[in-house]
Amino acid sequence: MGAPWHQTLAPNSPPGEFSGRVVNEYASGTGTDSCWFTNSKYAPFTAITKPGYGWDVNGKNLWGADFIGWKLETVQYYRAQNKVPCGARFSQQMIIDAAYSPDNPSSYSGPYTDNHGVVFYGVAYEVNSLGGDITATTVTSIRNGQVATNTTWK
Amino acid sequence: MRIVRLCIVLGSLSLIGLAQNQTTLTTNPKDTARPVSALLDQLRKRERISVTYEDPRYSKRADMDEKPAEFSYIAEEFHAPYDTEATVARMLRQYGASGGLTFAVVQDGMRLHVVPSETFDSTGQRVRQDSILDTVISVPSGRRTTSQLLQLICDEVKKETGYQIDVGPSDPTTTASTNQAVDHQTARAAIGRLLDSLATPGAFVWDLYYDPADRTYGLNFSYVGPAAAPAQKPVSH
Repeated sequence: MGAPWHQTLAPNSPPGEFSGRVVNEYASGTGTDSCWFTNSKYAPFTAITKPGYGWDVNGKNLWGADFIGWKLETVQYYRAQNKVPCGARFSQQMIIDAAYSPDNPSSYSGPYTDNHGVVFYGVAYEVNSLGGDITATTVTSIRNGQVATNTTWK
Repeated sequence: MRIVRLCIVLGSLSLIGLAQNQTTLTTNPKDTARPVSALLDQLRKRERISVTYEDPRYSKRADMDEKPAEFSYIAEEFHAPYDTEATVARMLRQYGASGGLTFAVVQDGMRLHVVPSETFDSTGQRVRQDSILDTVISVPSGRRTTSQLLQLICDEVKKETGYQIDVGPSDPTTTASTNQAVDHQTARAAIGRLLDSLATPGAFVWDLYYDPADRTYGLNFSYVGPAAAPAQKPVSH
């Protein structure tokens, strides 16, 4: 499941500006997985796992947790197969839904479809670089260059 | 003579037409030791079909198929669910005829499932083998996360069969709560029902891979639903 990441949308002005809106994730581009090998029981880990999944933005402009990185079982497997050090990298396109549909400003794009098949308009506001590395003694979760190491995620 | 020429011309045109509509999928042995899974994955991406795959339990890694595979079809073959099943069955027959192991395709709800029918024993002989996900399991209802429920399903399969299934990094389950129970269902149906509570029914599919060196399975997921590729074009109002 990886490490839990919590995000704050900016600018927070006025406070809670994005409260009640939903941010959705989508796959973007092609990722890489240097842990994978031909006979591996795991498929290459090269993309986000829940395209269209949405998080509610709360009154403090916070959303999450977004769990990023390797599961414990995969860490143990690739270590046992002598594949470490190794890691995975992929991109995450974020889209925030329209504030007051149907009065969408022309800057909104879409339509987008969420994971439950709901169609909406919104703003593609950023692409995040996600990933995780495994060494013989450490595991890291990576988001846009920030790194969390050896926490208690599973 | 004119009629003969016309027939030749028309015949050539229809051949060209067929060639234009035909798609040929190929697998690269450098990329996979599971050609059937690789072909199915290409079909998922191109035709958005909801189909799962399960490895045979090989005795050793050397039994895994590292030869290239190929499959040709025309897009019209995927217009109806029955046609889709027939086309996947044709792919499996062709793979078997080329010397590969025998697989079967079964429909269960929104998904097709490609499951092993045989494997190689330790002496290299072909022996019958059924799908491990045919295992009937039960999980009582209770407040738990979708991630915990998936783990419980895998744990129940291990209790019944002795084989461990580890959930891979592509796991789409979350910390969201569920009360779902599993009441004497196959593990296949239980996983499918759980996945259908997370997204549009049939949107998530899986590849269940077996590593004979590790003697365990890895459960991997892919997404074939409508949220696979967001549109990027601005909208005018």
